[in-house]
Amino acid sequence: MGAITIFEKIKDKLFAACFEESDPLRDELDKTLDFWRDLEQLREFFTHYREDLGKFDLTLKIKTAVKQVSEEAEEIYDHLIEFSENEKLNELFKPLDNRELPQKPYELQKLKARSGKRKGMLRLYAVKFRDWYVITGGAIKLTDQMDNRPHLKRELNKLEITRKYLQEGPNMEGTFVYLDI
Amino acid sequence: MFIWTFKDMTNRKVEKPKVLTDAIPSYGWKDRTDYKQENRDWLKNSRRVALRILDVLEEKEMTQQTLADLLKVSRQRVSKIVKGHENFTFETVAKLENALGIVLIDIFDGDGVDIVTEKNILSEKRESVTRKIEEITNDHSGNFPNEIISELRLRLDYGSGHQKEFIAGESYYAEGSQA
Repeated sequence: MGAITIFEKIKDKLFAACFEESDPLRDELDKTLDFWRDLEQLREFFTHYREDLGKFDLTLKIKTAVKQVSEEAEEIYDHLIEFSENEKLNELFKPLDNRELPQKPYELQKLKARSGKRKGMLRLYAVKFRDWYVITGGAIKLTDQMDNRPHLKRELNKLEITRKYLQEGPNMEGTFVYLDI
Repeated sequence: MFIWTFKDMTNRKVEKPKVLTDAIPSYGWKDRTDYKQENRDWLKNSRRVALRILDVLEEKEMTQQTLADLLKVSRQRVSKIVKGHENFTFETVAKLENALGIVLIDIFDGDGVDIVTEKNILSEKRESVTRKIEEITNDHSGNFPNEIISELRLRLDYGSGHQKEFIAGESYYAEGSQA
């Protein structure tokens, strides 16, 4: 196996990257959805980032935040299937960088999808490759910036590595993938 | 011939790159969709119960192993319960309630009032206001005028087994000994 494995999640429409060797292999979409559905892990996450949660929304308690994640996750999951089947993933995934215009997509662009909730905290990340989308991961985003929290910085790394892999192919320089840089 | 070629060019799809044609099919994740739709209502309640159990375990500093021992089930079983995917039986709910000393499910009284929700809301408000009053009456920094502290102390009487508490600015009188 090379540095990254690509899984086809919806035939001919949606793909997901897998970065780590495990048995069985699990791609980033599966891992992200599983995390968002794991009540115990979510409670641990929000306990760890309690301060960020308070700054994100002062009225949100941990248990309410967990409940919100469950609801948002189901919404994103439903949208992913619906938009894929209607070939409208371009309406779901928007530029990662808010300064980029959604109307001007480009090859290997880094993208994000979110729920329709006004103050949604979930993000699904992907790279656009020709007519297809490759999901690289997802996260709970409680801060404005991504590079000052390890779990968000990891998502940035995954996006970049996937972008490079899609550009250069399996012969991408460097066999090992380091996500936590 | 020209028209056929033109149609062929417009209908031709973008060639899929090798990294994607070599992708491993993994469609099983979508199978959840129908199951989820059909079972959405009880799954939502199962998540609420699981969250409540996790909260109580934390409050009581109880491990999942301890709960498993009380329920006489495996640790893995408890782990499944707190995932929020269990379709609980009444029997299981009763065992959980007894083990944790809480009420998980109550029955509507027929007046359209959710008794458990209202009990929880009143209970939370009562606790919150009582805590605040205690904080103020124990404050010796001089931040609060003495007459206010005295008045609050009069109203907050723990000695006689009766307790007057405030809820949202109104007085609420509850009888019974303090637990």
